[in-house]
Amino acid sequence: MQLRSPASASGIGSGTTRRTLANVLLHLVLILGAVITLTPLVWMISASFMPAGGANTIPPRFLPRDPTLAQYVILFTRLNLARHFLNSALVTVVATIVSVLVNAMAGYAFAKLRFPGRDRIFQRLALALVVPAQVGMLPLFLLLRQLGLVNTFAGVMIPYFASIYGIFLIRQYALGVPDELLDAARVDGAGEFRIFWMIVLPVIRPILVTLAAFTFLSAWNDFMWPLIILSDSAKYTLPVALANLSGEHVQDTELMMAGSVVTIVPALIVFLVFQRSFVRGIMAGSIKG
Amino acid sequence: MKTLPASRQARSAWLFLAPAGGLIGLFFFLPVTAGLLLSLTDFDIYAIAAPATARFVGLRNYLATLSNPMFWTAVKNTLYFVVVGGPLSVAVSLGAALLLNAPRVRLRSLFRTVYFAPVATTLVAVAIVWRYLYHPRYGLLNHVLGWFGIEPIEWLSDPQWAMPAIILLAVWKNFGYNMLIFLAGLQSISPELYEAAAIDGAGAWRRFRHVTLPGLAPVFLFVGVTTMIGYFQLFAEPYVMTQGGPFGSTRSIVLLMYEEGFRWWRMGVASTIAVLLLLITLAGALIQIRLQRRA
Amino acid sequence: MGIKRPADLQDAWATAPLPGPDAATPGVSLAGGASLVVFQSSRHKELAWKLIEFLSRPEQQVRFFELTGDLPAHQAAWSDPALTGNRRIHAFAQQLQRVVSTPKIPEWEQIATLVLERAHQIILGAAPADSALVWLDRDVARVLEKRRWLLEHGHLAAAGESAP
Repeated sequence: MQLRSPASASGIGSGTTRRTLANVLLHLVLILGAVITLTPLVWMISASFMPAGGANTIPPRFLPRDPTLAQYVILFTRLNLARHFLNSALVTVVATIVSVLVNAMAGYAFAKLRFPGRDRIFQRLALALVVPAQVGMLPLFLLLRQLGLVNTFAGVMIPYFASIYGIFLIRQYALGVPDELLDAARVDGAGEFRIFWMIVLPVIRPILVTLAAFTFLSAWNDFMWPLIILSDSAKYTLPVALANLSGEHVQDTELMMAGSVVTIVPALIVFLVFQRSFVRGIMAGSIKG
Repeated sequence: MKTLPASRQARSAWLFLAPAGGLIGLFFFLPVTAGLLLSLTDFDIYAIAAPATARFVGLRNYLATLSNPMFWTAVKNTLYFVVVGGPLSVAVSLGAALLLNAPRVRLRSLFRTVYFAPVATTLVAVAIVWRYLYHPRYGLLNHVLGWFGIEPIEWLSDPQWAMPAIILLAVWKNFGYNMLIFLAGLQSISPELYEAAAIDGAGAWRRFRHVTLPGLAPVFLFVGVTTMIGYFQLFAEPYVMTQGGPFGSTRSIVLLMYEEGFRWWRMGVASTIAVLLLLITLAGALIQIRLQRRA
Repeated sequence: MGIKRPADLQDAWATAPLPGPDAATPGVSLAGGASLVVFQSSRHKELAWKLIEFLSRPEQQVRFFELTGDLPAHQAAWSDPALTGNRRIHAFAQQLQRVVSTPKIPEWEQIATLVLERAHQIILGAAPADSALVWLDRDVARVLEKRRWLLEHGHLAAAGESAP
């Protein structure tokens, strides 16, 4: 039984036609937007398979005429990009694991453990989010220099281990853990850490995944800090190595595109695999924010 | 029996907080405080080797920086980026969110993924890609503009167009993030408000103005302020694409700070610039909050 | 891109040594160029040295000049017709009599950048030459202030002291 809304009762076709037209237009705009958004990335991939000079044509070619892996070969043999890839992987994986643990503990404490000054301290932390990281970068560099951590992987990772934003994220989610669950465990005599490890962590797993994905992406993509702290080019992470290469090889378009592909692909893969986590994390975090 | 569990909880709480607290305290709060102090000294390359040669100079760095035209150029460039790029970014994000939130969208999550993808990419890598897209002769952008009869623009070598080029890149890269936040905001507006407005005879535009926009007000505030704070920290794009050129037209505050601190090793001056950036960011955020509260 | 080199002006240029404040004080240029070195860790020191000897010979330096335009470092090479016959090279020959090496101080790069910045302003007409030079002098004084203070107070040995 179909109900006709008053709007379309006047002409059987006109209301639905107008809606369909609007819908088609909507999708055309969406598709155009998608094309514009993806074009730089698609061109990047396409150019990475062109031989040297293949991208410097008028008019610019969108697809390679003779696709080749030559650029990738150069990257991984002469330019040793695999080493930088591994550097990035090391820094990112360690940073992610440590960050999830450290922030989960702190976030849970703020959410579920009662201690004096809890809310006041949390508010102060929130204010600190306004401070640009650059204010501390120079003194942090000097501090790490004192500690002998300049130009080390540990030095690169340290800023990623704990983040106020991460603590926020965890706390937000952990607030939803039922107190009864925790109190029951306490009555049974379980210690706080045991409760955290055995009960809380499994329950907040979704947000842990979100935080891990966020940390992975931000550590993998970070540029300014590794640039500052690393001086040995063998230790460079991918973004720094890429920036370095781009100075020397500014004429080698196709080579640089291949380098960009190698840098971006892992980040995109992580994003695609965990996208629901990402989306949920960003959307949920903002409503309360 | 509240006291016993409470104090045990409190003790455990400190243990739980210790790692994060220690890390944030030692590697964030301490350096930020040190940065404030450093800005009052002339710490430089001589002091790195022999700290005793660093002198306390009070506000001299601040006076020198505030009277340095290069600093004001950097502020102007950064403000250009923030004031033009920020609202543009937010508008595109809102537009994308509105499109995705429309009732009968097919493949919604596919489009959402595509629109968000640039956010996940590495900025340095895409800056390099866009540098080639902006090539006056071989770049795709001038080629596409040519279809509309527009003469080739020397994007990154023309002082007038270099910052707009960077703004365009930033909008492309970031719009997906705020799009998600707007989507969340849109979905949180109760449908009954729309129905009530439709019953009152309001058309699509009126519904947008009187239901959607007010409903999104807190989101606008959040998105506006966070985008502004992020954009004040412009660094990687000019570093990779233009090195602050041409003729210093893309030298941002953070790029200037980087040059002073890590090229010339004048760390006292660089810290001063960082502190000034903090103050400018705060001022910008407060102004925006005030403006939005009034609107 | 097509505007930069009009065909009829291809030959309408010349070179001259750098001007100075007056006829008695000609301009001074900065000595630059490439260096030939043998690495301490080289496993072929003899051969490397032989190559350096070869490249330093006047005839080879002239050949280099013909191939790339690089100016010979060996004074004997300058009497070769390839150089004496080139009217535009004469200014360089004169200038090479009055060169200094860049100051070996850590602030040099920053000073060089400041010189570029002010020169840009002058060329673009954004500032009159006299004012820009006064500002440049002030900029450089500010950059060198710490070094001068350190020298004055005996924290650095005097001449020849470079960055620690």
